[in-house]
Amino acid sequence: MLPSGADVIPLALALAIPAAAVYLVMPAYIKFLYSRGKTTNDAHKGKDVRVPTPAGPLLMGALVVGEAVAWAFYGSVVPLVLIVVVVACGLIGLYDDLRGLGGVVKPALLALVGLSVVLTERYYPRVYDPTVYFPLFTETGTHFIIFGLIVVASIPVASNAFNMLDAFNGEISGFTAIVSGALVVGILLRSYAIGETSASTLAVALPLLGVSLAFYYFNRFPSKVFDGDSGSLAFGAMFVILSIVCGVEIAALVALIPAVLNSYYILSSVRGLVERKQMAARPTYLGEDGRLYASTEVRAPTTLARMILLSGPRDERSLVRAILTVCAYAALLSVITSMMTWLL
Amino acid sequence: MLLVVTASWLLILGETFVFFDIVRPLGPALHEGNVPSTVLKVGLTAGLAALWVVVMFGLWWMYLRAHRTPT
Repeated sequence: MLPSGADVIPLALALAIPAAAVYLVMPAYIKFLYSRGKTTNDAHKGKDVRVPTPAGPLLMGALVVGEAVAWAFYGSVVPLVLIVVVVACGLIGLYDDLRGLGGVVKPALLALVGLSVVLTERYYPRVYDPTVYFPLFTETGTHFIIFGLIVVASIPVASNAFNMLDAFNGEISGFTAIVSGALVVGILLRSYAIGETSASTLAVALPLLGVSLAFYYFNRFPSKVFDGDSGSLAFGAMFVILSIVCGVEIAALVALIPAVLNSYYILSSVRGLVERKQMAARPTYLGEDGRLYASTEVRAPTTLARMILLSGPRDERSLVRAILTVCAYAALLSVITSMMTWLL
Repeated sequence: MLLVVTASWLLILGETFVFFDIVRPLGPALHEGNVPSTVLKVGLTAGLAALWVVVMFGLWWMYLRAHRTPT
């Protein structure tokens, strides 16, 4: 069952309020970061360009506001779980931004957040359905333990996949907007097919779309602000838990293929869980002509950007457009997967 | 890169077919079956995941080889 006319205002508010919060507060927040000296060098510009960071705390706050709107209208426990996940993962990222966390400690802490979601479902079984719905065939049986293990593992995997795709102007915000759009379509198709009301489920998914779209305005080339690990980890954790609580896991996995491949290839090429700052060489370098080139160093990690640049050098704007094109293609495949799951 | 993403997606769909048509009928539901049946089904499912990883690694190797990049 699709949302009714009475749901238009709550859904519009769940999308617009967090987006407006980012759009209206970000300029003052950027000034605040400048005044505190919280800036970093934008490594892909020819000169020393300082960009304020991290915007993560504001993004977390906007996501919390959006989930609070969903909770106010529909009263489910799901927005409260999402608030806990976003705040916990965002704070882990914020600590990583300010003090630094090891390549093993960070995923372990993120897994603990996943464990808290599983324990909530164990004692209050209204958070998610421990069943996976596959395209063309059917769903698996209900397996609390196996599904719980997947939930625990999914947060570190997805959060780090988002984090590793946060290297260029507009990359993480554009990617998050694209995949959360695909998620919203998947939720609508699922609701239409199985006859559940979709309004409360849509209401918890829309804040991520609104926040990422508003953030893209500030994060696109040339970036006025970077999100930091606090933003990317919060985005990744929220996306994956949304896919679980909304029951669209396979469609979400397909949308995440570029990010999963990016992190998989990085981890394969550096052979282990290594922080970006600890990597021996950069995957790309800035040429004298202002364009980005793929590194030819053997120790350099293989990223999506490096693989695209193997076809020839590009400026940053063109590179991000190419990466987001790949992400949009994966999002299209995700929508097709949702149609195969719920309509065939 | 679009071909790599497409291959990854098709592999997910193909493995879904193998999971539901071959692995799942091998025994009763996990919580009702005996230990060998459970181990076999879980092992084969893990094998499908490992196959995805191996194929993605192969595609990566071929992509880099086509562009003659040292790794």
